[in-house]
Amino acid sequence: MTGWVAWMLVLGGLGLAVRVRRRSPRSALWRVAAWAGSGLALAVAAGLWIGALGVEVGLVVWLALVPLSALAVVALFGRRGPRRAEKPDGW
Amino acid sequence: MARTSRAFRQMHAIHAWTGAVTALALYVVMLTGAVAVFARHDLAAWADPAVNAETDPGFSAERALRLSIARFQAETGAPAGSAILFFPQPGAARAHVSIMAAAEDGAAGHDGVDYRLDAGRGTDASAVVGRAAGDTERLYQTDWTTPLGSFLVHLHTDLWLPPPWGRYLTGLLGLTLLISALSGLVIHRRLLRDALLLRWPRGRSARWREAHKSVGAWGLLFNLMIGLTGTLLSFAAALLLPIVAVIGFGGDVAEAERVFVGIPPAAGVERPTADLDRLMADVSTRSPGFRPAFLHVHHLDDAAAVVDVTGFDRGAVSQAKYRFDGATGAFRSRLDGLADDAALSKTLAMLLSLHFGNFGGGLVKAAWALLGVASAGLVLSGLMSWVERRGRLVAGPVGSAAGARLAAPLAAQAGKPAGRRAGAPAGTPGRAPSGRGYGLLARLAGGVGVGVPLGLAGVMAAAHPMAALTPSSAAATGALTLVFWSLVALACALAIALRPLASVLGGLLTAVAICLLAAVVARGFLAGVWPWHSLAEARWSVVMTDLVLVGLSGGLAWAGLRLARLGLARRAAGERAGAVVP
Amino acid sequence: MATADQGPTRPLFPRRRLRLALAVPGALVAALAVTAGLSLYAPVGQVDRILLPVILFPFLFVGLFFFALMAPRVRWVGLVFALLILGHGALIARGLG
Repeated sequence: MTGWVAWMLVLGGLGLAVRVRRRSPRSALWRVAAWAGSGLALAVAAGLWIGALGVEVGLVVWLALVPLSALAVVALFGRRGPRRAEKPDGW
Repeated sequence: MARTSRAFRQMHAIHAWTGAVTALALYVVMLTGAVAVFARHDLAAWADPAVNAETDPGFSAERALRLSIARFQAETGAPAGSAILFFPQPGAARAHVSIMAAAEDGAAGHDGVDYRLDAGRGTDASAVVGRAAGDTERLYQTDWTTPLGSFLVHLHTDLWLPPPWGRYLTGLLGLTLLISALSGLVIHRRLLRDALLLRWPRGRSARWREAHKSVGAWGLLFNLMIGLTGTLLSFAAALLLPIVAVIGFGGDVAEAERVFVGIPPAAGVERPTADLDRLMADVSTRSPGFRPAFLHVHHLDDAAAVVDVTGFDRGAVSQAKYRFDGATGAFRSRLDGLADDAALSKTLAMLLSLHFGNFGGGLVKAAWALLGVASAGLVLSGLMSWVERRGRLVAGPVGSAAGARLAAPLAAQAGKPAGRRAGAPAGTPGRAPSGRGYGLLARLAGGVGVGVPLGLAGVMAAAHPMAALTPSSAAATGALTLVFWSLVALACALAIALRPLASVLGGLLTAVAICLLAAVVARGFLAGVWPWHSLAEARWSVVMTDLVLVGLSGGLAWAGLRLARLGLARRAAGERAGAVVP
Repeated sequence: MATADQGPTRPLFPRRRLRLALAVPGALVAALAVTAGLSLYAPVGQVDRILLPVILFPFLFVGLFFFALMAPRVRWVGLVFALLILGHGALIARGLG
């Protein structure tokens, strides 16, 4: 149960972060609030996992799951980012 | 400007060239590593139906040990010096007892016998299901799991090269992984900003590069960890520790060993060692939720005997050691810090656990496997974008058509929506590559990229037929090795010789799918265990393995057929337009 | 955009072969020498004197690798590597002898 709640929080937090990056709304206050919200969600998720699994395992599981969730979220929702001209950075 | 400063460009070149030189070997090691995390237990239970899933509640450490010692003495006539019991783990109820004869000078010897016990049958005489004699340190590496497990683990740790060169090679690959990850971190300045976006630019090579950056950013910590622990695991035991121990102790190897093991020599006075089951119960009360890994009895049945119970406390990644006085059974100490004399074993145990994700159960293993596959895709995507750029620099927009099409199979490996990539608009038909070396490299990368999954799937399909053909695990392991490398070589040869490349890779991908399905079917016919039998017996790790094999098979068949059709359609279109398609 | 002090024709890695020889085999030997020698003088306890150099080895190699390739003058690299190897070699010889 704790795992599911934590998982949802990770997905929500990352989804929010992706959305802020994608849309970049004008109001700075809203942006700060959104970043804070996603950070808080991730922190609470980490806390839940660490509480449920113990410090060492919880931390490592969290460090593994966040990249995986992030990849999933970014692949699903992050794709309409601004296009940037590619430079051949001096190969 | 900072972005194009000299140091930045140097870092970029280091990242590109290090990656390009090591990519193919690193890809083999990473992809097999992603499978090898399951080799010891889950795949062992899958490959050998005789392995029970559940440990019998009556399994007794004391009886397992005494049973093996009685056998050892009957077989060798030598007294047992020390013994190690490896506890059965969830998913595979197989225990091992290694008995080492006492050496002449009272020190611990390495030569001995390893007994395999079926812990699902309890601990009567019938539980001993196998034995292997020799240097126990080597036995752990080769003989104490199924041929499939041995093959996978060795492919990952030393690519089946003769010792110690295989270890040195994987150690070097670990170092280059560290170099790649660090230089990648430096050249990718806007790590967090870009990590939250996956740009979807027009060109395929640019898209390939965006995926490389995204996976690289999120997999950074994992790759740094894997590179560091992998380097240490490869180099530490084979090279560094012996050198450092000898020099640090002024050449006195015996003194170095004494400090590390922390066990005084045998007393030479016979005294029966305390009941191990009572010691295990003692550990459980001291550390609720303790998961034992192994138990080591030093100087068995001697007045100076010491019993070390090693395993994981709840929530711990590193192992702790509970030390008991062997003669009285009195608790002596708990060793786990860097300051005490279990430092070496703790550090090395943590390296192993972190590297293979064998702590925290199946969830961590699954995460490690997914991250491993993603990292393998990362390595290959980096190579592909390098080939694209170099090829273009050398000879205009070339290898791009050949190279970018590789995206689909590899993306399928990385668990990304392959179909969407494969089915993406074709863009302009490619031109004939004039930078031939890069075209060849692109084909070779494609061959290895699909060949390694093909080899792994072929090995899975061959595991049960081999077990049925030969009772010798060494012969079966050798045959699996042959199957793997032949399939990889075949895939490379086909990718280089046949055209269009996309269709070849699509066909090979379909072959991977067929092999995966064949693995499940072969298991059903030869071992008589179909997935529904496992389901009825609630053997979840076996059910999961079968499900993953069938699911992967379906996905890969779909992606492979699509890719093959795409390549043929494109060639037909190209022939109509009069162009040559690579 | 090359910065002012380097002309546009200056190669990215001057004396590339020498640098490569220093960066891969050279850095390996130097890192091994430091790892072995460190166990004689690291300011930690007896057991950690064995472990610390082992754990440091990958970091040492990676640092020396980047240094060999990116240092402005390849002479510095040769000098530093020679000092590391010879110094630690002498220490080891004294420790064993």
